[in-house]
Amino acid sequence: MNSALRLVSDSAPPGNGNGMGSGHGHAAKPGNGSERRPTLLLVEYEILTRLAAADFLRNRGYRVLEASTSGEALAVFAAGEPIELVFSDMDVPGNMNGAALAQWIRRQFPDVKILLTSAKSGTKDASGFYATFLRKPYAHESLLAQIRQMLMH
Amino acid sequence: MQPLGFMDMQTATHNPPDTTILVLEPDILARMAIAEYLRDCGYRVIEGSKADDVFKVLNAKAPIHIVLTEVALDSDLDGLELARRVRAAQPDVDVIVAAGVGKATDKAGKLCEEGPLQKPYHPQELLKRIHLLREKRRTALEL
Repeated sequence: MNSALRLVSDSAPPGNGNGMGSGHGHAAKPGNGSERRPTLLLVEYEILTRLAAADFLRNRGYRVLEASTSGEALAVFAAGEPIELVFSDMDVPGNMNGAALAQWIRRQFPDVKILLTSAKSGTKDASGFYATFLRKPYAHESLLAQIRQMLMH
Repeated sequence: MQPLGFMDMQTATHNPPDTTILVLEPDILARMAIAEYLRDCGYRVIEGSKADDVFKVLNAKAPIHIVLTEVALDSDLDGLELARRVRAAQPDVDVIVAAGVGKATDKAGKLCEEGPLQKPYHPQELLKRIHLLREKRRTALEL
């Protein structure tokens, strides 16, 4: 375990009794101690794309974890985070691309919803990966609607 | 734990919501923990994993107030060189460099008025640094 994670794990942030992000379950929404926020994992290499989507989803009440590679995504799962949905680019770098990552998640965490995205024109069907597909560029409202629909089922 | 002095935790619960911190940390679990802590303290946090991420965000004219960077980055650039380049390109952006004990302390000390943030650091120590930098900026604006 890295030192930075160890050092923060013994101190709850002010105004919030949770939120250290490593296996503590759902963090309480700031300002509302009883509400549970679904945790999403956003896997996207391009920082500007990632931060825009992450900001948007956080402002809509989700807890959003960010990974820039498939290896980072695996590390987040290994840390025991309560992830309900993964939104991943198909071409994410790492030992696994988005499709392989989706297959791994499906095997290891069958309850986790998977939403894949790509800008490549040849990609249109993610059903082979037991995932849903959203084409890039996507409107954030469309992303939100898709995530809400997937989390309802 | 060190006493917090004038910047106590009560102050830390009232951070201006318009402060954005870019956390540059190659270790995903460390980055995630620091970012979530700062978000829970009221800051907007952008997460970067590599040096190039910082310049992409700055070039995009995103409003960044503070860059928190690890010294050891997975790129040709280390955190100290990154801090120099950020300050040269964006003097209004403050940089906090975090280093392992004994790592590059002298170099970082010359670069940063407050010296490097020694790892492992307590999160409240990080908050103190952030408050101090924001206070300095506010004071400079008032002069």
